[in-house]
Amino acid sequence: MWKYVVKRLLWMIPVLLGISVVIFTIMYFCPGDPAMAILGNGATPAAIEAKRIEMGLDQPYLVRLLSYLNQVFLHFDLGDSYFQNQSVLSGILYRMPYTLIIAALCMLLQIFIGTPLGITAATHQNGFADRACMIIALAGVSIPGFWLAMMLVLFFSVKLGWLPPYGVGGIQYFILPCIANAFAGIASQARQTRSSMLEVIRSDYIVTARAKGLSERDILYKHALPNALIPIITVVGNGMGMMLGGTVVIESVFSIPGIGMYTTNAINNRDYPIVMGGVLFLGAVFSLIMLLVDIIYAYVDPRIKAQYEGQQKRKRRSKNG
Amino acid sequence: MKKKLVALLTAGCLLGSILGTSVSVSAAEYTRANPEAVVVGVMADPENMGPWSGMSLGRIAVLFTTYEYMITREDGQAYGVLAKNWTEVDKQTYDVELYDYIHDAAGNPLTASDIVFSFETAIATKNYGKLSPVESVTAVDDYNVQFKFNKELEMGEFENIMLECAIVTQAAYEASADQMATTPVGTTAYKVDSYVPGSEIVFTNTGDYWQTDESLVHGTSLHNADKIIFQIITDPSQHTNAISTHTVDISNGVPATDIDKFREGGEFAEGNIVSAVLDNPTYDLEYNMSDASVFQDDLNLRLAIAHAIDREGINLGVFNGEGMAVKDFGNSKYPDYNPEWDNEEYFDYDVDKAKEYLAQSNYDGSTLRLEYITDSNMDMIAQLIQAYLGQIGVTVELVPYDQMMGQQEQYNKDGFDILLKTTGSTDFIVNQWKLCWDARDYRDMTGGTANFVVDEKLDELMQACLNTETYGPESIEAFHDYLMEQCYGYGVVQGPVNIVHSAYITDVALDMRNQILPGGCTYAE
Repeated sequence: MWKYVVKRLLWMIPVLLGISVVIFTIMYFCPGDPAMAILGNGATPAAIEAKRIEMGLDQPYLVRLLSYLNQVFLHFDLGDSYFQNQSVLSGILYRMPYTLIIAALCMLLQIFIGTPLGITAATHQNGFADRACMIIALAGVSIPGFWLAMMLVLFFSVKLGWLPPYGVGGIQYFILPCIANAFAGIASQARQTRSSMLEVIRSDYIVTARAKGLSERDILYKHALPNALIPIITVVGNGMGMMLGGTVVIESVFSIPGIGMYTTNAINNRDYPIVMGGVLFLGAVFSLIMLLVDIIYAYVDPRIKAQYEGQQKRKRRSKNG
Repeated sequence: MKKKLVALLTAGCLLGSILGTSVSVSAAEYTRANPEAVVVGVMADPENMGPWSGMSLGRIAVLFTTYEYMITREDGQAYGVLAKNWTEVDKQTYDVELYDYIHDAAGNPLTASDIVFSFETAIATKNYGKLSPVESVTAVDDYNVQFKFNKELEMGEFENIMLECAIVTQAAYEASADQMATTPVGTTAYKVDSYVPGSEIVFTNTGDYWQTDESLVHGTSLHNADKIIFQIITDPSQHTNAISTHTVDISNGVPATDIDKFREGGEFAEGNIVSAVLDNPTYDLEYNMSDASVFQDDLNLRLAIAHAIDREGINLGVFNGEGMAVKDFGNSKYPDYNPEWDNEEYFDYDVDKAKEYLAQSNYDGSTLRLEYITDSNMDMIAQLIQAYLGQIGVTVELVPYDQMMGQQEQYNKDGFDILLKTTGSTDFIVNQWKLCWDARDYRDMTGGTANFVVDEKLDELMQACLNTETYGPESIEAFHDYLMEQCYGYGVVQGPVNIVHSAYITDVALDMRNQILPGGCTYAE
């Protein structure tokens, strides 16, 4: 199992290398000159050129790409922001807690609201509860996050005055952003849980369990749910990626100084090091989450664990002869 | 049982709504976001609060609360701040005397060597094009500095150079671990208590401002507030929510569509006031005058376009009539603007005349590309222009760019036919013109003026306006008339800056860029 984890971690290197090359190339060919942005409209061409040389923007594509990869992968340095006089890594580390708090809280909402909704819908298939849950789920996948965010602000902040409309501070500042960001995830989770549970509930061993006289609760939570978990976990993993991506919009709406807002501002300013560093960081986090999901698969489903271990045993056997 | 549960839940929700409503009513009675501080909503994070990190939307909002400059400017007039007085030795040399009792917020005394340090460091960053004429800055003694320039300075140029470089003491700068990026120390009455990047900056009044003679303290150095909190709110609609929930006291970021909600009879009028002033930048149209352009040798087409656009209609449609249809590239706020221009005919809206000019032009019915940097006002103006030109049979394709692309694409002669842009100067109308029509600034990029005009007479007239010896009503009038005659471009409209604020702010102070000066505002007791 550990070998599998190490192998997956090593696989992250080419993944991150690929992300770096792609994002660097996109930013390289993206129109807009950071030197001109720093100097403003009245700058002379000579001043702009001098600034470009100072920033290394006059170098050809390959030179800049190799220099960037060398800096990131051999020196673990994401570079310095063009505008902030600060290293990108420290900027990311400063903002990371805000983004991770939002993503983690959204994840919890997704799991603890979406899963029970899906189970309720499955166990009451075609009934009132099923329809109610699925209407909520349909609304969740249909409503754009930024619109929901503004509606929540208008109702809970402007109309009721219960929660702050924006900013950071205590936990109350995270309630509206998390609801807005998690709603789509809750909906996906509920829909996936419902369909997985329906499939499992119809299985022979569930009929057998009922015939043996087990309580419905035991049947659901001890026999059906564990067997329906694999697709649910997949949705959770993908959801985490969506949550991280979604924070870009939510952080802008709620003025939360997380990595999303950091990266968005950098895109507008053509602050290439921040954009590349931000995307690389989110890529690394997402890769780690997907690894975590794969590991959880193994613990949830002994067949998958056996498969991981089986591969290693097979290799050992073929080595021994 | 289920019915009872549903009924209870419904009752709970109703009770919650009623209680919530009552909270909002009582909240409306409050007029201050924070009883100990004035809370200002700003649109962007300064990102780097260091003294010489270039210019950005976030930085200009907090700059004068953080730093002082050699001089300041109010209503076009320059006043000394750190500079006690200054004299022109010759066209390329200026002597500046400093007050001899200046100290920064950390208590470090500021002398001539700090001025030298500030200018030399700022120039070395290469972030300030306006400082390029500075050849040397020398400390004559502790309180006298001599500036030498590599060219003869033009109208307002010395003042603009003095206003370009924030001044700090070398001691404070070198004591800062991050070159003052998060812990700036200027000579204002305020020091930064805390800075949460992307969220808020808290300033407190040190109570130890160096300038004790109140008659010498000008708007940018006033310090009427004990504590100032700048809250960074990037989403414009959240500025509306912030003011309406009394989370901030003052903001210039409320979208134009929400302004009426804060005016008398509006949803959030209670306890709030809207103060409006004309903004500095002028929205103007410039024709692409490069070789291959349809406009280059076609004055009739240029005039047809100009007469087809109803500038007053744009003012009404985009700014609810609170802006101004301009008669040049600015208005009478500039001291050298001739008020008589307001009464003259300036490409007045006349569809028939426009059609006549169009008929006499070489226009072949091709689609013209209107390029602009996108924002809500620009989008609306561009759409209105498209509609107005459609009335005379000219098809217009809109080419919007974001700020960064637009900055670059405006010098691409193949990228557009008409350019809609904003230009703004804080001192004289001649410097407003300079931003478009001084070919010396653009020749390397465009071969002529900003919009590719190659016209020796225009260049001569422009330089006559900028030269301190020939500057005057005659040269200004000549340039204004020639520009109207040639119609290489013209001013369209100026928009308003709407400052929405709590009623406890009785008078709003703005700097020369129309940014809020919380230290200069007047507050009710």
